[in-house]
Amino acid sequence: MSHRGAPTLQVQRLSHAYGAAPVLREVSFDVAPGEVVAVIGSSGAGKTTLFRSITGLVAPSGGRALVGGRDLATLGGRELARARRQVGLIFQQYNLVRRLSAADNVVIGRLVHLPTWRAVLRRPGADERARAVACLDRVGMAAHARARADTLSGGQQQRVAIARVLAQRSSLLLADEPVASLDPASAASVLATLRAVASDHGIAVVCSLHQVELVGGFADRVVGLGQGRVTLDVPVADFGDDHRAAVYGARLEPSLVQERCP
Amino acid sequence: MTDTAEPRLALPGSSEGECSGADAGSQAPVDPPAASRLPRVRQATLALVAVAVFALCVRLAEVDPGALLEGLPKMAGWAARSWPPSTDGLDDLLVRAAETVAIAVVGTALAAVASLLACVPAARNLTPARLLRVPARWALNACRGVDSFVFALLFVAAVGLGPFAGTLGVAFHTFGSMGKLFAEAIEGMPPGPLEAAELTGAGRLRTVSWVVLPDVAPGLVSVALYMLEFNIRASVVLGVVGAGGIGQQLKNAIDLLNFPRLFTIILIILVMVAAVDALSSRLRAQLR
Ligand SMILES: Nc1ncnc2c1ncn2[C@@H]1O[C@H](COP(=O)(O)OP(=O)(O)OP(=O)(O)O)[C@@H](O)[C@H]1O
Ligand SMILES: [Mg+2]
Repeated sequence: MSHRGAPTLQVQRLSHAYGAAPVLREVSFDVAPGEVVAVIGSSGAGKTTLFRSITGLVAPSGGRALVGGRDLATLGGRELARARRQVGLIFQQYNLVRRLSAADNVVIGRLVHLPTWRAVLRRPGADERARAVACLDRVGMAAHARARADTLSGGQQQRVAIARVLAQRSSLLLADEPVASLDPASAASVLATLRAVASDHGIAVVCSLHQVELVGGFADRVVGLGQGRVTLDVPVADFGDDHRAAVYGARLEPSLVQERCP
Repeated sequence: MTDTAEPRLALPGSSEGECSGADAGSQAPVDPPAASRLPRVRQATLALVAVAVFALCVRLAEVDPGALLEGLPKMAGWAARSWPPSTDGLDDLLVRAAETVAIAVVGTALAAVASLLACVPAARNLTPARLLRVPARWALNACRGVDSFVFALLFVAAVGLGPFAGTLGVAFHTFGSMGKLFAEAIEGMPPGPLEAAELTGAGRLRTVSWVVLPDVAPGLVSVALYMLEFNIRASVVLGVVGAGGIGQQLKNAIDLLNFPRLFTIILIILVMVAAVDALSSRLRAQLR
């Protein structure tokens, strides 16, 4: 698959440290419109931190991340809010509003498009509600549209969080382990949805995963992260067992060994 | 989990909505009290100082058990003379009691509306800018620091005798307490959903109505009901300064040594307070 045009996301020598401990060390990679990049790396490698730095939720200590050519970390106020519409993030912890219905949680992805009175009174209107249900339908959750978020299972909440980001229609979609809580069938279907969103609407997708076997039919490229560095950046066709070992095997811990040899 | 958990606040009612998250029990470990790690001499000195200060306080409070002993028979006499409770002017007393309830209800409601507006700039997670937050906090603290009774004194002078002065007094003091509790309830909510809304580009108004209010609503209603219970009791004394309600009748009965009437008034107050407490705690139990 060829990806033309200016990259949607450019990560340039991005570094981050919590206190003195460096978590990201000069991470660089680009993502083109319509391209799907899988980020793999063991637990604690810095995947979540990478996503948070790209969105500007944490300020990088070095380097920058450009979304559509703009560095979110340098923006503030209205400009930042406007630029953030172009970035959707599926959080590892879902981050739904517990006491709202699944459909209302999806509407949150489109809050900026609601007229003020509808936003304030929390009356999204029939159109937005239908749109939310359609997004829920794409992740197989339409039947739960009216269920309160805190009554849903972990996997169901994760899918609602994905629907919320689909509703946002950003040009860059970041997904932090979006299938970690899903059964194999739902996982495959959610990844197929993300793939379709990228291909059909030219959205750039960056998705972290622990299930390496899933990258095959899903991603265009695989980026490996190890101790905050990019240890691997290859087209998915070239991704093989030796790469996999390089990412996960570099620091084999007992728990990881167990995970690999159940 | 990458989000650092905010320290949980021990807030009336805020615990109900917050048990579903994995972080519900993640309280920072509390250090042992500093005194237990001090050397013995310091400990002894501290204990001595504490005793001295307390003794001084007893002195200043003019604690006099003899006076109490002398007074007890007098009070027993009053109690004897207050039976049977008088039913003279009972209808007027009931109207006055209703006035007391009205002062508390309206005062609490006004305070709730004002608190809802003030808690947004006062909450750290919604208003990181100190320039806005610190003045908001100061305004709340100032109102909280002045009692309803003191406010009522001022308002009697400003708007004249009557329940409206009492209502304003209740409203201003309650605004301080309730606004602070509202802000703390908001600061106790999990940061994740706020970040999620922030990343959609939504502004504060939209975030408050879609993320903050749905999450903290039961906590806020619970706080407001607590304040209502408190204000019923606080409103009883407002009549003493002419700010309306049954307190005026209470003071008159004491001044005239009319004990049967005093007894009736106290019974009415007890029933009134108990009724509102029962109603309010039933409502609070239904919040979820
Ligand atoms: N808020 C924080 N404060 C301090 N250190 C943090 C914070 N968040 C993450 N870290 C540290 O940064 C490192 C990377 O964390 P991160 O969450 O980015 O890893 P991850 O790759 O997403 O892991 P996982 O696969 O388990 O989700 C870890 O060592 C973690 O302890
Ligand atoms: Mg993570």
